[in-house]
Amino acid sequence: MKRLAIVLACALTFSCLAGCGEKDTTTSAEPAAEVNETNAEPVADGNEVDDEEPTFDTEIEKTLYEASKMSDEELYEKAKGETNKTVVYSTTSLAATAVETFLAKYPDLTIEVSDIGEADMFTKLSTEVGSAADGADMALLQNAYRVNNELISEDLLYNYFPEALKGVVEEGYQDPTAILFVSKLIFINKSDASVEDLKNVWELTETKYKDKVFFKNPADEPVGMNFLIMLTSDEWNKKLSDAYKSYFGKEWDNSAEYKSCAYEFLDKFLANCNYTYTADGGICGGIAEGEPGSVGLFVFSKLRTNEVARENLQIAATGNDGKGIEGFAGFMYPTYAQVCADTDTPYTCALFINYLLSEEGGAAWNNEDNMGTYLANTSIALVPDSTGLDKEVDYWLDRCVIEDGDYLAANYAEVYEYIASRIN
Amino acid sequence: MKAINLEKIKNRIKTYFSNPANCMLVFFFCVFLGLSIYPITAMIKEMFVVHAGIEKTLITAKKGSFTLYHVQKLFIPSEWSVTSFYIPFKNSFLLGLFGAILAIIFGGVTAWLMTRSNLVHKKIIGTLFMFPYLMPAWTLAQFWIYLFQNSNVMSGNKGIMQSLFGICMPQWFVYGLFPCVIVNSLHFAPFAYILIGGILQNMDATLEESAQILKANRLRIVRKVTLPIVMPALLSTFLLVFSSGFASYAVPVFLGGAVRFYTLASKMKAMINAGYMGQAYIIAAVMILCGIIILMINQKYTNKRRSFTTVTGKSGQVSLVNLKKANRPISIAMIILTVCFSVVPLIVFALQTIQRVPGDYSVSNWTLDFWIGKDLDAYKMGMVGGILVGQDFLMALLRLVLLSLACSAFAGTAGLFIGYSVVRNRRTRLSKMVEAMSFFPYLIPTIAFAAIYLALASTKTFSFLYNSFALLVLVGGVKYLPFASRGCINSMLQVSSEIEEAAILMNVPWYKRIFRILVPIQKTSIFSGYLLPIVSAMREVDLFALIVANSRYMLTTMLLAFNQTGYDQYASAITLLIIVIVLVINQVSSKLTGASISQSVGSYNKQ
Amino acid sequence: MPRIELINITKRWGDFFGVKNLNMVIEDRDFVSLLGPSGCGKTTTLRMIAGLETPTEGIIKIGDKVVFDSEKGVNLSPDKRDVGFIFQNYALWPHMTVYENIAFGLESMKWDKKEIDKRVKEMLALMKIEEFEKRYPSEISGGQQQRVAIARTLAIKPQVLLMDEPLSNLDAKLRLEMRTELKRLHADTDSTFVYVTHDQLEAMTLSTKICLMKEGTIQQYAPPLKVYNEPNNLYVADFVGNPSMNFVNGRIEKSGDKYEVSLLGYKAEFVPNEEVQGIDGDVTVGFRPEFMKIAEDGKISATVYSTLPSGLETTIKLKIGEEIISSVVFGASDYVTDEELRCNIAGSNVCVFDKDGQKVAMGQLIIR
Repeated sequence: MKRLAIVLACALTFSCLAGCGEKDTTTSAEPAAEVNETNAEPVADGNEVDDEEPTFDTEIEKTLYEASKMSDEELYEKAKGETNKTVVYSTTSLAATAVETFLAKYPDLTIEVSDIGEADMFTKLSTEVGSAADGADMALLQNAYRVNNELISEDLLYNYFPEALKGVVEEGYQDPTAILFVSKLIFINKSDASVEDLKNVWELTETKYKDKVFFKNPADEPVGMNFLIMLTSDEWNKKLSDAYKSYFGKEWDNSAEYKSCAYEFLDKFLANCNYTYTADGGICGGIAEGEPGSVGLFVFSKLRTNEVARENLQIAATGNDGKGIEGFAGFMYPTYAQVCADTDTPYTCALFINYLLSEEGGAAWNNEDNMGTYLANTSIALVPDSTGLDKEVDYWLDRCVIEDGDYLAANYAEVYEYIASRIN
Repeated sequence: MKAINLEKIKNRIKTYFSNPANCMLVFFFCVFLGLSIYPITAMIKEMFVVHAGIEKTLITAKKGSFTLYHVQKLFIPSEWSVTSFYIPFKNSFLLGLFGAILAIIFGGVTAWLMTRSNLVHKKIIGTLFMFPYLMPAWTLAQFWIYLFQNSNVMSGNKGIMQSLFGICMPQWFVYGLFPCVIVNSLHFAPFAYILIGGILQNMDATLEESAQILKANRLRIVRKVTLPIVMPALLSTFLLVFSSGFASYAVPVFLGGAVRFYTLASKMKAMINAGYMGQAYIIAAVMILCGIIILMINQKYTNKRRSFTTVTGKSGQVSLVNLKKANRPISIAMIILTVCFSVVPLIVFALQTIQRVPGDYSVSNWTLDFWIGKDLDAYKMGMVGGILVGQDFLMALLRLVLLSLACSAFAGTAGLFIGYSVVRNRRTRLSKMVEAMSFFPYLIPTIAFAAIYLALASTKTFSFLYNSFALLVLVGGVKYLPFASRGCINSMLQVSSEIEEAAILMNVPWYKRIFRILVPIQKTSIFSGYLLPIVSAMREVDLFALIVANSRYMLTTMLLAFNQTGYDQYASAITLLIIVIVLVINQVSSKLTGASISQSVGSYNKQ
Repeated sequence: MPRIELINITKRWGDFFGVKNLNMVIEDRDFVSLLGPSGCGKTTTLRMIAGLETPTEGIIKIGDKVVFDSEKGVNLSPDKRDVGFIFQNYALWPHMTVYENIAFGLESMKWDKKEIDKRVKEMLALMKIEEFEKRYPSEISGGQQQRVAIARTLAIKPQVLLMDEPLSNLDAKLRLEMRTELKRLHADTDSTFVYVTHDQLEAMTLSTKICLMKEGTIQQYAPPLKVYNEPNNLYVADFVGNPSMNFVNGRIEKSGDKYEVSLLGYKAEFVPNEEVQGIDGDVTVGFRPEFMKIAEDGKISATVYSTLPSGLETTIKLKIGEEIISSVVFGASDYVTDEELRCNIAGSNVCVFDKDGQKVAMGQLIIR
């Protein structure tokens, strides 16, 4: 005991010493910006007065703004001046393919992709950006809530969106820039013909679905959590109320017990969820081989590699004689491309984002070997996958809950605790 | 007068530091002080500040400002604190407790059978019994599910027991506390077996014989003599297994998720996922605190005045208890049981890697694509094809092996010097402190440990380490240092100081004394000290995930990525390979040098 | 009563014989020492008597009871043999106090609490260790631990007390003291003692009979003085006695009814004590150092090689020809190194061993 007390006492006494070595985030961006000064356009260059010209806190932000107005050729020229390697942290492993083709097109650049786990992405970026550590220059990442609240709002990530594409990417996905969407859909095992199609999401709140709705535990999967929280937004609350009406044949009227219709849905839906599987592949295989009538929510692309699943499972959105399930058919989440606040290669980053938004770059995802992934650039047509199951992005956007950073920022905390107490 | 005193002090300091063992001790004291202070201060800070994200919104304060919110939220009784802290705490506690008790029963009975009875086929049982310890605990958890899942519970998928024998176990048997306890105890039973077996083997048989001559029956001998004497080993096994169970993460994730069974560690991870950093760090602190308490209980018990030093008597020929007719049945039962949890999981994992559609065991579904297939568009995961095709996988394998070797070289060598300096300064306060502090890294939950070192590497001073191999080595080395230093302290204790003193008189420099005299004498046990870090690093997943620059960097982090995305075949193939490599390393080293895991674990109790 | 009989006892591990066809009777109230170098099977024999080791073959009887019979499959466990056993390292239980250690056996026998207390107090007094009763074994000295071990063993009043080198861990002075105590104990307790030692002096001074063993077989089983004076063979003669017996090579020839011996470059006549037959040729002649007398009228001339006075006696190493011969004289006397002197082989205890080391005759040696 005594020994430990001494150790702890020492620990506290010297804590101030240890503190000296720590990074100071408030002054973070400056040193990195200085590095870049040689590449930056002279400030005087911006004399053609533009009344939209915003003010910038850092050189990088300014550089990115200027870059957004350049053509790919101009960017390439600028990027050639950046000697350091560009490191891209990515939660999607197919980014490696995009980097490969990017380098084939722009051979003078050096860029490398690092696969980083979804949860680790935030810890890593918030630790390294602005610190002395030389980590990522840009990131491809998901989870609108944490991207906005932990990184963008803390000035650790800067947005870049090319001026030229303003018409083809929906405005809501320009800041932060989304490059693609991934869908997770509701599937039902129809291996037995007597199983009826899902007609309404409220069916999933019935007791007969107890433990039969397979879903990755949202506490372990943030995009799943975001989806549940989005249900409480006005838009989806309304859709849920409408579905409620058509399912139960009466208007929702339980405000005594629940804050809104969505809250009631969450309460009853979560009570039926089954978190046995810790990965989407497991859910897919599991319900495909499992009991007829089991329901699962998982990444669409899993169907590609699983013949049994294609055979036994029905996509709820396309069932019910093509009318699909009422309420929602699944959810989608964007993958964002963001530039780190301390990058020393802003032009390369910008060029790479341009590339990701182009048809060529998007081909890493938009190809016949992949499905359930949709490009944010709406001018690019979906390349149908070999199974022929996939549909255009608009089809899904109408039926799936999609993350909205602003709504999440305002309501996350409250709804999270409501949900957390129901998944423990 | 004053001048003389100063001179005296100066000379004293000079004399003190002229002994290299003292220099090392002071050095390690400073290093350990840093290694404990840095994490402690970092964690204390995190516990009381507002972080970006959800906390900012909840507390409506600026990032970085001081708050008591986390502490209040987590501890003041409410629905939130009950589900986020009190229940996980209870679960962790029960898991640790029952896991440790069962591990001791499994391991203890086996140890007794192996050392004190004439059981047949001891060799094969002894070898197989070690397997579960060499396998990562979560592979057993996964195996448990493959074995017992059935159409009555949760997923409704058929497991091996149902498919083959039609046996359906109830839900509590398949998911939740019970299987977690069983899997943890299976994983740690070999640990208990080695510790207790070591004591039984070293224990002077005459202690039991004299009781027998004094007309005590078997039961009384076990109760009054054997048990009290092995008690310290039992206790330290209990506490080690308890603390491992208490902090276990992967096993509850696999076996508990389905029934919402959370432990402190899995809760902490969920907190981090949601951005509740402050509360996550408080949970980590609670886990460390519990670890320290356990460590202190352990030390208190082993420092009792009824010293348990076991003088090995000359009667090495212990009279073995004749199991008579029970011998063969017990032996066969043991073999079946050990095979079930050693060879069978390997076969199951091997089968998983050749299934085109996971879970379908029919021959028509078999394929070697995941091993040697090329251009598998359908399975694209950034992989060119099967894991044996292309460089990615082989490089990751190579890096993992390199890292394990480097971690072990780091931990083992540091452990060697710690062992030397601690033993040569035996009974000084400083040496006791260094010995106690060397255990600290073991107590920090893996996820917090990684985060703390990541932050350390992002500071100016250490930024050169960021995303580097050296950081991985440092983190692994420090994390496994407790194993290595404990082992080295014990092996150094066994060399009498006269041996070194003889060399001192002949003016042999200290490093030569260590490497030419002490190390050769104790080479087997020191090599064993290197082996445990190798094996631990080989199967460690969570520790390195955050620190590697790229999840495809190493085999284990690759495995984690495959697990998350659900590419079961790749994941199983990697798991299988890791287990096989660990087994091979253990076998080869025990053949070549006589050092094996059983020995490195065994060196834990010789104090 | 406790007469111990070992009949054809053999203990074998694979091809290795620990004890080979051993026959021995230990009479009631004997104090028998099993003597021999390490690995000769003495401890194994003792452990077989106690039941801690199972013989491969043979019969063991304690008193009238057959405790082991390999043919009939009888094998009584140690607790049923009514023996006490003192281990070399005492085997005190480290987690019990002195008192608890002594009381353990009595508790096993389900004695009454009061009786136990009385008996333990008695034993503590007997062994003069009353003040240590509350201490743990690690807190008392080796000699005290030894006493506790004896007290613990004697507490249950065993008929037979088996001791496995109980004094070997003590220092010289304490060992001497404990020897006296043990001999006294034997006289006081009326029980049979079997004692294992590799120290011939210990065996000589303590026992009523010595059983000298080599490689699992008995070399000689006789009272100590008989073993000393009339060793059965070269091995026994060499093992017993300090300084050890002088051995010289000689050649014996029978001429008429006299035996002519040539040794150390001298001719001598050997007069056997008893009628002997057929001793002829090369032999080894052995005589104890005390019979190598230094006398002015001695027939043998020798030079002093070195002198080792111990106060009570003096050992003189003499060089005769190329041989070094020991001589012991009572009291302190000093000789100058390389001094020349004369000596004689006296007494009628000169042994003659044949080529195989067996004793063939004893008698007197008259140097010419």
